[in-house]
Amino acid sequence: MTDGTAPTTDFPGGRETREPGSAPLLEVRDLRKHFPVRRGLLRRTVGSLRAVDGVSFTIREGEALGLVGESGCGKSTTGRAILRLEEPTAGQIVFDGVDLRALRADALRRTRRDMQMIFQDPHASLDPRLSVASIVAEPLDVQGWGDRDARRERVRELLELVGLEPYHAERYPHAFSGGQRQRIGIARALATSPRFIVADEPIAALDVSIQAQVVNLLADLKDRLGLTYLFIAHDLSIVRHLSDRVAVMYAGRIVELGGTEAVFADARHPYTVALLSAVPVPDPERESGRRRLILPGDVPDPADPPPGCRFHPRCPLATALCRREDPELRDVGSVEAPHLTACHHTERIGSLMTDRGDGPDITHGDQE
Amino acid sequence: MTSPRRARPVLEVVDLMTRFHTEQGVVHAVNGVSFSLTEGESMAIVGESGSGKSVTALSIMGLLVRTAGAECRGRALLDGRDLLALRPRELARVRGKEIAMIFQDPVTSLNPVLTVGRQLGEAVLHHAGASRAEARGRSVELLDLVGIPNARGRLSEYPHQFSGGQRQRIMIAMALALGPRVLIADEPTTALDVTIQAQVVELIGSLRQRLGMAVLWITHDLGLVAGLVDTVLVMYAGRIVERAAVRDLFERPLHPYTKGLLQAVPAWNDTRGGRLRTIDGRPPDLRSAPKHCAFAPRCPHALDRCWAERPPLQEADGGRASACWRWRELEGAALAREPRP
Amino acid sequence: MASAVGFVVVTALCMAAPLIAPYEFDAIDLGSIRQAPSWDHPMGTDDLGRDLFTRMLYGGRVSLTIGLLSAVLGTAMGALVGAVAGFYGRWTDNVLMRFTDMAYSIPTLPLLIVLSAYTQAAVVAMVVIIGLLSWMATARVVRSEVLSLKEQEFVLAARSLGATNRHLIVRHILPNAVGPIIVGATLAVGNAIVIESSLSFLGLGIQPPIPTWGNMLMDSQATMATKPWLTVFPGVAILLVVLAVNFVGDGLHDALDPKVRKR
Repeated sequence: MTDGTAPTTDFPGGRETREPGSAPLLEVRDLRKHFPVRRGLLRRTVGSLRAVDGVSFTIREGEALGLVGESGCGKSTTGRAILRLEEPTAGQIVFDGVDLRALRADALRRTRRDMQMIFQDPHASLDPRLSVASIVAEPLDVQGWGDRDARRERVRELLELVGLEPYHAERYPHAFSGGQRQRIGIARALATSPRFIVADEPIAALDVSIQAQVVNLLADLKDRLGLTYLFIAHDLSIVRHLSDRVAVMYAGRIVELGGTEAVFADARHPYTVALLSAVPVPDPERESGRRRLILPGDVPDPADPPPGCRFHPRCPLATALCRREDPELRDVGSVEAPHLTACHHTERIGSLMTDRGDGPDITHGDQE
Repeated sequence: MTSPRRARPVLEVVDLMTRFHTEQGVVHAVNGVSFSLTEGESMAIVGESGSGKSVTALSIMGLLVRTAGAECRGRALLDGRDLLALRPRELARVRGKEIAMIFQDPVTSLNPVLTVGRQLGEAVLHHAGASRAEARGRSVELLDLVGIPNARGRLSEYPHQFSGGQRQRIMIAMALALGPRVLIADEPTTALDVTIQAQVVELIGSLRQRLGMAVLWITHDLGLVAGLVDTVLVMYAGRIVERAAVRDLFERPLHPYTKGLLQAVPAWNDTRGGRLRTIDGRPPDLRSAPKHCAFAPRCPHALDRCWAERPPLQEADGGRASACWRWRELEGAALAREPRP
Repeated sequence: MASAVGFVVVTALCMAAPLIAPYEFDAIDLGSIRQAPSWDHPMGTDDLGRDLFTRMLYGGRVSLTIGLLSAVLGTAMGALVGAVAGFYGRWTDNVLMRFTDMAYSIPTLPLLIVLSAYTQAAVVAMVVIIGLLSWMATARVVRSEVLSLKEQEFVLAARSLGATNRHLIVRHILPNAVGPIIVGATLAVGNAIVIESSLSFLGLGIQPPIPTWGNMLMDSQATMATKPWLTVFPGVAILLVVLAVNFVGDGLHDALDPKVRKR
């Protein structure tokens, strides 16, 4: 394996920041991941659990796409399937013009220096038996990057980049708080100067006072290093803060996809409306005047999704059409700013919250 | 939502202190917490992990085990009776009947090998001494109450046959079985999704009004309490650092920690970009019991006095209280950031 | 720590037996049979007037060798089988675990009897036989540990860095499974010494006149009531060594754990 073949420059200095809007860096087409459901003594396959069931989107270089949804909607599986940490059942993943699913183990390993992941749980994602230096240097070891001195120097750089001190390198993970551990995880992900990062709920396990530190760090790194993010989260306010565009997932599908402001200000799928209205707002004035759209029932069983639109059993707008026919994603936005929704009745969205005094809407801020 | 009557306190906690004796030293989890909950009131204790909020709840319920190194002092008066002084047998009679608690994780809180009907029935039988048929009837009522459809049919099912949200409803039903006057809800929605969280919060809120019980919420989520409670207690390092009516707290926090917490969450109408305000540093190590203000190392406003002397919880205007030497300045909102010491 | 030192001292003494033993281990002195401990014979003498202290030292050599080596062999095998089965799962796991079950279901003692009859009960043969019969428990425990370890996010993280399976097993899985491995190993040491004793009891272990703690203990049983030292010394030696090994295992466990290790 040779070094320096990756088309990336190392920081400090970083590569030049590209404006979102250039060519797609990642293109996902009709991605599916089904897990076999086994029952009985012989563990026979009796069905399949459709964790991800036909997901398509693109991410442009330098862009951050937020992927939101509730647990079990398939958002984390999507992130892992893109990196082929879970082998996809079907679909295409094209990264920088290369079809990842066609790659063999060796070639895949080389592309991994360009695509990295930040994990949710900073306690589980660091090997407790390795020192911080070994953890951060692991990708360099695995990828055969540089000699020992170069690696040590690189670890120092990385720790500094994420706001840790050089002496931290000799310590073990248990000596750090959650926020610091997450910084270590971020340093590890950045070690090989990747271009694309899947951040899977990177702040969900952190305390509120620490979350902001990590959010700022992620935003800074994006600007400084020109990173492209797939930002997976259930916390909508953080997604809103960090993403250029947002995709909303429900039961293994994307139900809405559009520019962040457009989705938050003018949601076009009833599930998104409900999700937004369910988020508690730290503002008592607003809360007391706010109407909630509280959905009945639960998320469908992914092994046995309902026929037609998967959201119809919980949807206040559902009609016979929804029970019968699965809606396609269609564009209800403009040419410059596509806004996709998978709802037969997106025109009637307004009626959902009509008599509210104040909603989960956005009354200020110009759209870019 | 204002509290119905500023009536007599149903639960009064006085100078509660809880320590854990561990191999790594003494952990000072709760260091002198006092508050009172009036009848039918909705109150929240807000804090981050390690603030002592859950330990406070467990101490009141007498659920900490002395053999595991826990040591509780102070008083927790339920209708004038000190829960901390009760013997185990007496305490067991009070739990469930007068004061009940629901927990964060609905998955591990139910016994997986017993049917839901059996577990609910036990909660009823245990105290009320009802007959089997009565217990069954009461169980159905309870499941109806918490909104589980087809309650009669589902009594014979096992916990794994219910979803997470439904399991939390069952836990609530069990807690309500004997009509307690105080319900402690320890992060009841943290393990649930937002749309399910909304259902459960709504449920507890409406049950509180119907049954007239007081609810003490324990949570880390300031957003959650905004529309939910009358009074908020903010805890840091085992102490209450601020007490305020919910509107006042959000409008003008009188403690730098509360202020930091509020600013650290992106505002709902936050447009993209920009930096979030952060609270620097890390949460305190509860093994040391410093003489100074526990928040001083992270506080942008800390003075020499804060390092010399720990501020007590001082009464402020409008029934509020703050454990900051500079709360008057915070009230005037004219507090510049001090250079770090 | 003290137990580690004690263990090392005992091992060293036994290994240096030819240098420090006051007598030959098979020197028969019919003039002084079954003597109680005295200055000449610190632990007394046995039925044939052989010096018990000398025999303890030589016997320890054999017993410790068998105990330690077969434990190492069995544990290494068990850890490997368990790690591979747990890590790769599916049919690999199925095959290896059914094989383990089979090995488990073989009645140990009859097999040992047959095998030792064939192999003349040499030390090396004993090590291999006992080792091959004592890896299954470790394999099972390690497998279940690995099953939960491989789902840990740090393993997934390493995989996302492009790490190979070998790297994952060697760097992450095995070091984190060290707890059950050490427990397995410490139990195996005691177990091996006891198995060797049982074989000696049946007259199938290491053959006289070569002493082992096991066969010394067994030889003494007839005179246990009248000449207790013949039983007490080898018995206590086995007990202390097994205990010491357990303590050493505990210490090792802590020493390898960064959470406990002093920085």
